[in-house]
Amino acid sequence: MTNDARDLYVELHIPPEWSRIDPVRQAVGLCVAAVLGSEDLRDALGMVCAELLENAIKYGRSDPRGVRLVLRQSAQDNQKVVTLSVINAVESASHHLAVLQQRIDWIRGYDSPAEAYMAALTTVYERAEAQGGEGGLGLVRIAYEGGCQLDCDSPAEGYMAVHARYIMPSPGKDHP
Amino acid sequence: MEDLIAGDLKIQAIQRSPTLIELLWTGKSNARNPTAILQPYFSQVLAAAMDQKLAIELHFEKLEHFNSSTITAIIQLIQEARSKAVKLTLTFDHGVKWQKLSFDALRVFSKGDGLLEFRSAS
Repeated sequence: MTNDARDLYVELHIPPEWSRIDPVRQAVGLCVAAVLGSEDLRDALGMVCAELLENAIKYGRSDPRGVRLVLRQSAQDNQKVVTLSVINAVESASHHLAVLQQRIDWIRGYDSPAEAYMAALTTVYERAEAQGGEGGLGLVRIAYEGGCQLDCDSPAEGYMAVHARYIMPSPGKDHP
Repeated sequence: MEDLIAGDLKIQAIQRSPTLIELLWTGKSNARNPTAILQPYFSQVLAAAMDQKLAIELHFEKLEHFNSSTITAIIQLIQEARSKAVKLTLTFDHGVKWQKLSFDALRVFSKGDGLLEFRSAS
């Protein structure tokens, strides 16, 4: 779990079953709290983990290796970065990676994740007024409430990965 | 009004006064499709509120976690309560960062009509 190069490294392979999400959310949160000592970050990265796993299980393809989750801490420009990556199999014809990239680009189009989140909430409200339907709040919630930067890619044919990066604020500074 | 118990979530319905129904959320709302569970329950609560001219208070202070699909269900409740002119108050723990962020954002739906209020407790 811990080595000389990193203070935090956890890798899990999880069966793609809904009932596994909450234990993993709690486990990730507890690892974060144990190493980084923050209850707020425990809750935030636990939520990020759950949202990413929900997407992977909803839209992924069945794979005997399950859904892979990697939680690690690294350094970037003298700042600590905690990255949570979820990697899952997808159908070859799946457009999910493109849809995710579009959503990430949409979030980046706003001046702040908070503005993007408010816009997403308003869309959900207007949809509810019309006829109900899916929310689509997960990724933008990760950016706003989780304070994470998002990226996605395809690490291998038939697989996709979503990475949520939390940049630890310097001591004495609030998170942006 | 009956309580709702679904998976890790419990919503306890309490009527302490003739003008108010309180819904106390505890546990975790992490179902795959919470709307399917919550919307029928909310419909019952709204029907009772309209019938008995009650305001509704939702208490989230003791809730450990909810997923984003639950937020969607809560927004649908806000929309439906407003359309039926039922007053809704959402109470949360502003000392818990995830609750503060989640519920402060929902203030975007306050429209000055007095039908949606937020109360932060710690």
